[in-house]
Amino acid sequence: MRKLDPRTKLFLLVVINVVMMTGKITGIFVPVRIVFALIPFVLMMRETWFRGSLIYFFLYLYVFLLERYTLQDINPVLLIVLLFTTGLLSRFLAGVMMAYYLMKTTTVSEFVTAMERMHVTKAIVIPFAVMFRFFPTLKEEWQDVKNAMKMRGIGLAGRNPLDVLEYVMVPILMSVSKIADELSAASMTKCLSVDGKRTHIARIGFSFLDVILGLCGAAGLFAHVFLGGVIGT
Amino acid sequence: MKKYEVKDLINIGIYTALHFLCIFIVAMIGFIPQTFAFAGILEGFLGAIPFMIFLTKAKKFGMITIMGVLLGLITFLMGRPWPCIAIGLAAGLITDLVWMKADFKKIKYGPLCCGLMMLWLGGMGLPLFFGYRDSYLANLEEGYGKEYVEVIRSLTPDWMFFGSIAIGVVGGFLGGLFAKRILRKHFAKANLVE
Repeated sequence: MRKLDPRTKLFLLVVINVVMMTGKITGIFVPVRIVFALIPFVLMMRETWFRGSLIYFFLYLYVFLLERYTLQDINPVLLIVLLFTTGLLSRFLAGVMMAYYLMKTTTVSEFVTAMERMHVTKAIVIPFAVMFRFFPTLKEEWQDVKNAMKMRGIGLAGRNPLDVLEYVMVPILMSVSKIADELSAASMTKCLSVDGKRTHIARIGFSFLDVILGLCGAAGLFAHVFLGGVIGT
Repeated sequence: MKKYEVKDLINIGIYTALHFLCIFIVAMIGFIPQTFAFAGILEGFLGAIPFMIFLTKAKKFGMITIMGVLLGLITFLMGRPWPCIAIGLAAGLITDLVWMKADFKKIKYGPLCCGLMMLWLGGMGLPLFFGYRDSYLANLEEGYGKEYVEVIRSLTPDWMFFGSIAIGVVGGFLGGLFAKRILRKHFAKANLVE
């Protein structure tokens, strides 16, 4: 199975977010939204992440139906409560899943190579790649801090919020600054430098699927811009 | 201008991730319209803490600017209109200039820098204002009905754009003060910063 090109994934991420976050939710944009909500689902199925993709599918379906059929003309207080879940999810979920897919399936090497092909300067590419790789690490760190606190019987509830912030942030920041050092050492052994030319064995390139998805994204963007997705017409 | 090393770039990436995550978590709360102002101050406060640590690592001109551009890029990837990249760049550049004035080490200027950096939050709220506003709200109205939109509309006249930025900046400044205390209490002791 050929992997998708990182550039296609990035493009799709932008388009999905643009359409989902700032697009209309009525009229012809109902099918457009459905298509774009399905893209991460299909891509995740392709990676055989059945559990995650099915959870995503049914969650989105639920949110979508709720938003479409029940959110009109109800009590505003209830609406705002419901909105916190549905509105938020229907806007963010597809983009979040796409970002998750992007991060899980793209190696740093592939990402950097793709960016180099687009002639982005290293001063942007390296921090960006580090950042993308770093979100999962942060989650692990957070879990570790939580475990450590639990082990020592320090609960988060019923304390001064500033203290809580200190208890959580300080260990994370400590380990983060250590990770930064370790990463720099690791990159040194891999001869990553700012101005030297980089060699790589990552294979990237556009395949048939890339073209289809790319066209799909372009069509969605076109509909968004020219068929009244943005301007309130 | 000194040359960048890979270490600098890695630091930028890591602290941008942490900074962004802090703000993103709070921004989720900001979806409830009544918490709009409150969320701004909290975003600034929380985001300032990693940024303060980043400041102690930023010894070269341009590092904060790159961070600003990165933050702008993420906001763009999240579907905000493209000027958010320019806003990120501007916020980074201003902060960078102030930090340069502080010789890249005078921690006294830290809280001010934290506050100024929060200017990039302007990019996050961009769809709610100016030319984007009417279309965005009209669209919301079709989906969610008038009441919700009225609440948002009443809370977000155009001047609120600057208001929300100012709130973020104040939050950043307060967070910077708090972070300064943490820095002295924990990091200076462990020799993680000088």
